[in-house]
Amino acid sequence: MSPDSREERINQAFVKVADTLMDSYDVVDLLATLVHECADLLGAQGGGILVANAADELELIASTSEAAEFVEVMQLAAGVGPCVDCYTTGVAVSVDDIAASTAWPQFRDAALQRGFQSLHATPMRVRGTVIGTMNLLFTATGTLSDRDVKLAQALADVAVIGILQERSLRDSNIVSEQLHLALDSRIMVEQAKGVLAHSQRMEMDDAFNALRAYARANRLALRSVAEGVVNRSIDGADITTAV
Amino acid sequence: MSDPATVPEPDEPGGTASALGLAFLELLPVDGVSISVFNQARKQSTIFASDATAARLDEAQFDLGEGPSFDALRSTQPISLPDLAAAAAKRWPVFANAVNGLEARALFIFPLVMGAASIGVASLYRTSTGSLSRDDLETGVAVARSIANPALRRAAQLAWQDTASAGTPPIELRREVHQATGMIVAQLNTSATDAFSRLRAHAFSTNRTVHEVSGDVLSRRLDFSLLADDPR
Repeated sequence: MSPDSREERINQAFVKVADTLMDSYDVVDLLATLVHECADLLGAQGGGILVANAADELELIASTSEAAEFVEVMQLAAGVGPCVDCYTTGVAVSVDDIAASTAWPQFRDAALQRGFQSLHATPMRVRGTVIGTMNLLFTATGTLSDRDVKLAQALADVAVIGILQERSLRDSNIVSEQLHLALDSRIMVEQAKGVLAHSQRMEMDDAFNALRAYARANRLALRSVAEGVVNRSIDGADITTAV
Repeated sequence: MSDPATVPEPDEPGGTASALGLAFLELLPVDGVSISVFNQARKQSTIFASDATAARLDEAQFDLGEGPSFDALRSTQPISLPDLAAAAAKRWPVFANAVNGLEARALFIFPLVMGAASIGVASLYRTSTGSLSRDDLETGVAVARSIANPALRRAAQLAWQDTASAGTPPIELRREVHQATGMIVAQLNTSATDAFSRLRAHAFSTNRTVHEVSGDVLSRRLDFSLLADDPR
């Protein structure tokens, strides 16, 4: 990729965030977009954004794939993997060769099984407090260049802006409110995926994309579409036709 | 004050449940708070009450099977009763009678929600009548949302200690559980609150974890619409 087009795409990522913030703001939708962009820009084959819940555990809020096997890798990275270290220390963690790592055997085995050889976890901070991590998985061993490490941090900072609206950056109560709302939106989306999985016989991955497509086509927030599906005020059949 | 209700002692001092309840007392102009969560057997269990009045307000409703908590659970919306006596007399006469002697004059109920499902309620009372401001209501909703997950775990932990069963405490709130809840919503054409409660009840009655049962639902090995023995 030429430097120009890369700069261009970085700018686009920022613009996308700004647009989403002004338009129908939906954090899960935005972070899903952002983690895709970020993985693309940095040549990662997978990625996920983890946010800490009220019990101080990392939860997966957005990822490049909704497939259960990939989600499992991310959840292990969050629970018994390198992302915890990144979260607790507030410092980026690079695992250049997952096969050679010994600290997180469960994560290592799951990652290798899915073909991932290296990982880079970037802390997401608000005023010095770490609120989550943005994580990239690569199918080759090795580390990111210094330049890419900085870019990953810049994109993680964008993710923070995506989660928190401007006023909340000044008020720590609102920060945690918005984090919890974001995590709850994710729960709502999972419940809606379940409804579609049964009523429309959809796969979980397809169900997520269908919800998103419907939200965009109708200029609604992903959360309110998910809520409508779970409360059956939106007909599941209408969602399937939105794909 | 009527006969003093027993304050539940489900928590070590300064433990999780009291931290969950004290968040409301710190942030909102109220005098007492109780938190109750449905347990695996689909019974209400009070995991925290700041005082005897708060405990009594909570327990009276679930003992009698009527009161504003049920409305909050069903609607997943907060319920404000700035004049408790007047509102209760009109809509819940038995409950009104039971709490008549308590020093609570206003009652505010916030459902603990996970997505579209309510898993319990936080009940806040005040010794004088009057509404909460809009900001206060928003804060209450936000706090209730943020404590839903830890409150549920705390309840599961307590139930586990009670039954002293082997293994690790249940409840792993991973995605599969929420997806399975959604599938049960569609299978039974019911609310997310009911679906989640049935999922837990089924796990409890078959002596498996919620996560295991969720796996069966997701792989379509288990369909709740085909379960004959479901309670209620």
